[in-house]
Amino acid sequence: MNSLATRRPAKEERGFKRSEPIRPDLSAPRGTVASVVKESARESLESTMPRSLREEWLKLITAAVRQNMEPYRRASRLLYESYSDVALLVMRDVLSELQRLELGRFLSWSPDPFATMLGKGGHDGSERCASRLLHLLRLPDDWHDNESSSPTATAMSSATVLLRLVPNLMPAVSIFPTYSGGVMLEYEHDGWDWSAEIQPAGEVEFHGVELQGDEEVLQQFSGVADALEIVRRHAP
Amino acid sequence: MGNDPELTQPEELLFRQILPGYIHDEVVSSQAFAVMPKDENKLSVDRSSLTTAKGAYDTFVANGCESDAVYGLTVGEFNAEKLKCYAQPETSNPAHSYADFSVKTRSGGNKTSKKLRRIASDRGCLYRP
Repeated sequence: MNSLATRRPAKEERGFKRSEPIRPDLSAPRGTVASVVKESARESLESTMPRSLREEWLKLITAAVRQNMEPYRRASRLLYESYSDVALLVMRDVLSELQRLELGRFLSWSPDPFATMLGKGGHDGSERCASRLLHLLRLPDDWHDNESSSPTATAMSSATVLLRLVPNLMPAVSIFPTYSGGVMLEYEHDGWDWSAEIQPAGEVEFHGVELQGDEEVLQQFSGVADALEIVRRHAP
Repeated sequence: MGNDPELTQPEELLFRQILPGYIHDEVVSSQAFAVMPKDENKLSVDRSSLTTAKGAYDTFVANGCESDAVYGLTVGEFNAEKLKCYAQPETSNPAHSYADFSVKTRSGGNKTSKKLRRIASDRGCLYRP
């Protein structure tokens, strides 16, 4: 047996240096994508992921999806297990791309993609939230009337990220589509009625009304990351 | 509003249809008590003096709309949130009326919707098919 034929190339030979972009190898056999992601992640990630790298990951995983689902499954699981919070931000982009290009295949592979993202920690309420998110994902545009929109991939994945990062919300929250294609999370806590309305493009409006009084909190954020602090502060 | 006669009996219950998307595990969204752009600031309800919760549901569905439940608030409860209510009978629904949200800003309307949701939820579901 020719040992050269089976030898795993060194990372440098495959061109994975910190300063260089990751290139998907579309001719690679199954499993290679996950390996590439794992190794590049180990080298490149500590607690944050540069935007440019995230974009490369997205291309890589999208390419994997186009080839077959197994590398994507393995890569996404690896992302999730290794870099939970950051991985979810990557998954937001991945989901967005998937929903645009590959929704049918994605759902046929995984009947409940949100359970994977919300259920890993075994949080109370994660199953009902995952089930509800899947229901919203499948809503048609005319779920309300002929002028309404189904939740966008960005809104869906932002809501998923928010729930994953603030798991105390999951037992208490109710999840609804909005007329314009967003997602609204509503819950009551400590005498207040709270809502995080995620707009179709991912902006977040956090709104609280005192149930037995007239006090009100209303703040707007450019995305889930910016809204995290206040949502955590007012979560159950 | 306009020539529509205002409802003046504060104890009259007004039925509100809840779309399927606005119920999650028996919890109703505040959006079910908010006006959408196409509503022109009129939150549609049906008068209990002219129909029942089931009757309102049946009429709503017969007109081609979807509803998962019927909740309700009184004219007085709307008024307490600074919303006036008006009769606006339609050929296909003589009990049709509405609460006028035109006095509310967007954020004010959202606040009011949360208050209305709480009141209606405390009263409970009035009809569910």
